[in-house]
Amino acid sequence: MAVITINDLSLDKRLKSIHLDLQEGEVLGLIGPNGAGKTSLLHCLAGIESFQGEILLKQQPLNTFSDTARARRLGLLPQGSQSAWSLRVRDVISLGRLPWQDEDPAKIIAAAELTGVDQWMNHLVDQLSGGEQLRVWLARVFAGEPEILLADEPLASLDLYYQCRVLSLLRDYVKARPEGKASRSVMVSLHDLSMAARYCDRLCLLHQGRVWSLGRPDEVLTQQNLLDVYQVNCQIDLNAVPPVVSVLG
Amino acid sequence: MIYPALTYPVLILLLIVSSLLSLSMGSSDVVVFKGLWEWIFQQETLDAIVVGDIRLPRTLIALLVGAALGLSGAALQGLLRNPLADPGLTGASQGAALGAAAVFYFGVFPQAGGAAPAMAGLLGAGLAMMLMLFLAGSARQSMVIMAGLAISTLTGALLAMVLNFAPNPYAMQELVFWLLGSVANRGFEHLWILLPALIIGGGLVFSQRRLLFGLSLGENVATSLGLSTRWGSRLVVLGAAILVGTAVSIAGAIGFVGLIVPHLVRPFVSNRPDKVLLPSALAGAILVCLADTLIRSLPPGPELKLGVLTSLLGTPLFIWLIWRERRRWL
Repeated sequence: MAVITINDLSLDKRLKSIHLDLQEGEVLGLIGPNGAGKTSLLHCLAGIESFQGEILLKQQPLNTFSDTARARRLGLLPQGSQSAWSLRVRDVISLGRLPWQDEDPAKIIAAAELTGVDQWMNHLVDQLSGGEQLRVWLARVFAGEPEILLADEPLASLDLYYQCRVLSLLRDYVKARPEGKASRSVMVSLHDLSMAARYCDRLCLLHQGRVWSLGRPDEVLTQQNLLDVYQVNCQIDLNAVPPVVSVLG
Repeated sequence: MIYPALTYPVLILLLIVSSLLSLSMGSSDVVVFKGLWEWIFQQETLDAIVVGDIRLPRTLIALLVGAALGLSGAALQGLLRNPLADPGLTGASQGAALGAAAVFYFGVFPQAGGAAPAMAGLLGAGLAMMLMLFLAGSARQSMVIMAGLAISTLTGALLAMVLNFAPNPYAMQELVFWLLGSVANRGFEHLWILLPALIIGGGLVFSQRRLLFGLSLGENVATSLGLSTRWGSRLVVLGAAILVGTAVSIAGAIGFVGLIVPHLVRPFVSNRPDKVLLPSALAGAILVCLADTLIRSLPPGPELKLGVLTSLLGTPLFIWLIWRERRRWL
């Protein structure tokens, strides 16, 4: 069942008539060149941009939800997070509880354990390395237990180990759905197509604000699609473990 | 080692000690508790008059002015995510000064008597703040700073013009002294202006404490967390302007308190912009009250003005903060 259905979504010149759905329990990858509209799309869902068209959250229009109700169900991990103040890891994670207006210590600890930052709870976040910080920002979103997690290029400036680690964490989050609670889904924008093929159930290829292709990785990652959108020839082997998408030039 | 749990007990203890110090400091030798007791029961003794009618309003006003300045500084630094934001940034202090200048020169509000500069200052602060909010449009960080700078410059220029065309040197002297900041010779009528402003302004700021916390990770994150950055930021600016406008219109310009106090408090609340608010109000109150007590303990002669003392004491602290910050980046 679709948790998010997007019908004819437009945002000035950045997004043009987008039709898209996000299914229960799936990891959907948004791919496309710079300026394709990945961030704008995520911002529309997170309530940051006002849009034309319709976004349905479980068949109910998103703009009929109050800001707090929306924030409880959709969590955003923005690109390149940083904290203006030198906050403790514990306090950063507790920010994720703001829509719930509590600082439930059990939920904060659970989120920290999920991303493996629980040993640094009293450290200052700006004293951690880039990869460690990203896990803190991720734990912040996890702490709100959103049904839909939106992650905007979480892999930027991470080394190979952390790239795999973060995407596994997103998959773990989808699987870690508590008994009797709503399903969890993830929409993540990515630049690395091999990673996208490896970790996402479905991919959405955006180009100049439109959905160019939507489907399973083998349906979207074709030589023709990549040539049309990125203007590069690629060698693609999705049957390899892990899948390979390499640029030939 | 810092114990955050002790922050409030220590601040409240310091507040009580500094208030008692302030009540017992002065030229005549009186017994504080006896005087207070007699004043409450409206006995016309010397102790009651000195403690209740002279020192009590002065102490309370010093406390409230300090609280207003500390709280508004903490709120604006949190909102603008800038540790160098000063309450004067809203343009409210200059506006208040201009309003007060109008009283000294043109004698507006004659029926208000001693409270006239305060009333006109409040009006000036309100006008300057409305202009600033109108000019800034949204409450975006850079827009608030720029609009605040523009309005402070404008009101500063108007104030300079008023000084330029001063009708008589005494009015000018009176204004300049008033601008240096003081809580001397203030009565309960000033308290009745200050107290509601502190409650309303403080209430506005406190109602948005979750927004201040959420803004730590930027406006986009705050919005995605369901917080209204548009309206919330305006309420914070409005609250801060009410606080600082009233404080300036009653006590003149008392520099550096709003800028420094949040810095002193921050390490005790793990740098959280929401939890820094109330301790900043308490610490501001303590600081201004102690500064005023210090002034009264100086040898008699021309009184050192409160704003001069806080600036003199605040600047070295500020230099130390810059030094500490620089070491962090080297």
